[in-house]
Amino acid sequence: MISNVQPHGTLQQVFLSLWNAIQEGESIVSCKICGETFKAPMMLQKCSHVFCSLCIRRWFDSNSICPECRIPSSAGELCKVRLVEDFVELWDTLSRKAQTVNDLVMSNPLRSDLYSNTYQPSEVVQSFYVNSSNSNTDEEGRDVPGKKSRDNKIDTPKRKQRKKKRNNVQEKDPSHKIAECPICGIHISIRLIQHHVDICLTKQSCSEENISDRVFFSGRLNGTSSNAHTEAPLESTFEKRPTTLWYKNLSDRKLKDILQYYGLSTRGDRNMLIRRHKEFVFRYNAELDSKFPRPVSSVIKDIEEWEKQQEWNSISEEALNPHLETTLSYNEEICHIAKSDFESLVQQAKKTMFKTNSNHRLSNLCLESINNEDILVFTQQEEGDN
Amino acid sequence: MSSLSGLPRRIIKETEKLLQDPVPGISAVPHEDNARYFNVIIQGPDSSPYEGGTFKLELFLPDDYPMAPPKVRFLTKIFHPNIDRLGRICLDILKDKWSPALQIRTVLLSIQALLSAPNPDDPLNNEAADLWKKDERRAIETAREYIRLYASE
Repeated sequence: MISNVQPHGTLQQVFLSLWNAIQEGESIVSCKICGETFKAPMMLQKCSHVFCSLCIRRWFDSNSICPECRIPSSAGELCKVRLVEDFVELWDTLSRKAQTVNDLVMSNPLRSDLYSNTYQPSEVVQSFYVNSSNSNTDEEGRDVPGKKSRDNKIDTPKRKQRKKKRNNVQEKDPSHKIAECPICGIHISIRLIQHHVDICLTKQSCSEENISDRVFFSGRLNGTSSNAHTEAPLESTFEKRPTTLWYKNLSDRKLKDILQYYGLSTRGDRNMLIRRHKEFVFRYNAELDSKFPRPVSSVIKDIEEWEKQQEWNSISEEALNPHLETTLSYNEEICHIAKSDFESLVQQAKKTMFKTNSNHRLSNLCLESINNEDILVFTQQEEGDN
Repeated sequence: MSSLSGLPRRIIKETEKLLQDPVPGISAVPHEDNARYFNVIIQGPDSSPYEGGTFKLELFLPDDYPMAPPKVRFLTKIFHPNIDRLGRICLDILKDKWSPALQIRTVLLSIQALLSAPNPDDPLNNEAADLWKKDERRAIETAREYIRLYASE
C-alpha cells in the first residue's frame, strides 16, 4: 500500500493519519477512571466494561454500580481480560515507535530530503525503523543534515538487511528480553528466568520464612507467550486474598496486628490504619490480577510512597489554596444567611404559637420565654388582623 | 509555583483537553497556584431564560477525585430553582449519581443543561421554585432581571 504512495508530502499525510489513528486509539486502551492505559484490566461480567484492577476495586469499596453504565455490580463480578492487557502492550509499542518516527522526521524540516523522488517510500519507512533504535544518530542528524542523508544513501541493501536483522532480533525475539529476578534481583534472560527463580525459591525456603520477600507465584514469570489465558492457580504469598474488613468491629490492637502480618507500618491514627489496610488490599489484589505480579515488598513500598504523596498533597493544598479567602467569606455568607433564615423561622414559630394560644390566654411561663418586643409586635399584628 | 507534581495524569489530561478544545459557551481555566481549582465561566444557553448572561463559577477537584465528584458553585448570583442563594447547585451527578467515568467537561455541560431546563420539582431555592410553578413568565422575568443586575459583562 505504502509503495503506491507518491512522495512529497503524501508520505507525510499517510504518517499523519497513522499518527492520528494511534492517538485516537489511546482512548480505547485507557481506563475511564484514571485516564491512563489499562493496568491489569478487569472486565465487569454483566456489562463488559473494562477498568484497571486498582481503579475499579477502589470504586467498589463504597459503590456497587458500573462507573460507565450504572448497572449494579460488585468486586465479585470482576474477571481478567488478558487480551486487553496484550492489546495495551501492543498499542504502547506502536505509539512509542510512532513517536520516534514523529520526532525523527515530521518535526524536522532538515530531513525533507527523505521525501525526495530518489527514495522509494517503503525504503524510507524502513530506514526510519532501523534508525529509530539509535537515538545518537538522530541527534547528529539534526545538527548535521548532510551527514545524515549520506548515511542513508550509502545504506547498501546488504547493510540494511543486516541492520534490519539486528533490529528484529532486538525487537521481536523475546529470548533476548531481560527480566529481573523478584527474589535476588539479578537481571537474567527471560528464557532462563523460570529455572533461575526455581533455584532461588528453593534456596530461600531453606533459609528463612520472610513473608515480604517471597514472590506471589513463580509459575507465570516466563510470560513470553501472549496467549497465556489458561489460568493456573495463583500461589499467593498469603493463604487467601486479603479483603477489606468490617472495621467497626475491629480494635486498634487487632488492626495493628493485621497490618503487621502483611508487613505494613502501624503508625498513625485509626483512620490512617484503616486507609492503609484498604489501600493494601486493593493494591495487592490488583497486583495478583496483573500478568506479572511484583512481590509484596514492592506493594508495601508503593503504599509508603502513596502515603507520603497524600501527606504532601494535604500540606500543599493548605498552603496553596487560592480560594481560602473565598471560603472565608463564603463561610461568613453561610452564617449570615443561615442566621437570618433561622430567625425568620423562630418568628414564624412564635407567631403560630401566639395565635393558637392567645384565645386561651397564653400561660405566663410561655409568655416569659418570648421577649416583650416580639409580643408587642405580634399583639399589634393580631389586632390589625382582627 | 504550580503544584503539577503529584497531580494525577487524568487531571493533567482533562485540563489539557479543556484548554485545547473548549466546550462552546464554557471556559474553565485552572488557577495558577492550584491546579485543582478552576475558574469557570458559563454563558447562558441560547433560547433559555439565562440567554445573554455570563456566569462565574468555581470548581474544585478534591483529593479523591475522580472517586469523589468535583465541588462546583456559582459565584454569580442567579435566580434558578435548583441553585440557592449561596450558588450551591442541586444536580444529581454532583452528589449520589456521581461516577468516575464522568469528567469536568461533562459536569459543566450538565450545569449548562440545567440552565436550559430549570426543574422546579426538585428545588433548592424554594422562592424561585414556587414562583416558577405559580407564574413562570414572572419567574423568567426575575431571572432576566438578575442577569441584568449581576451577570452582564
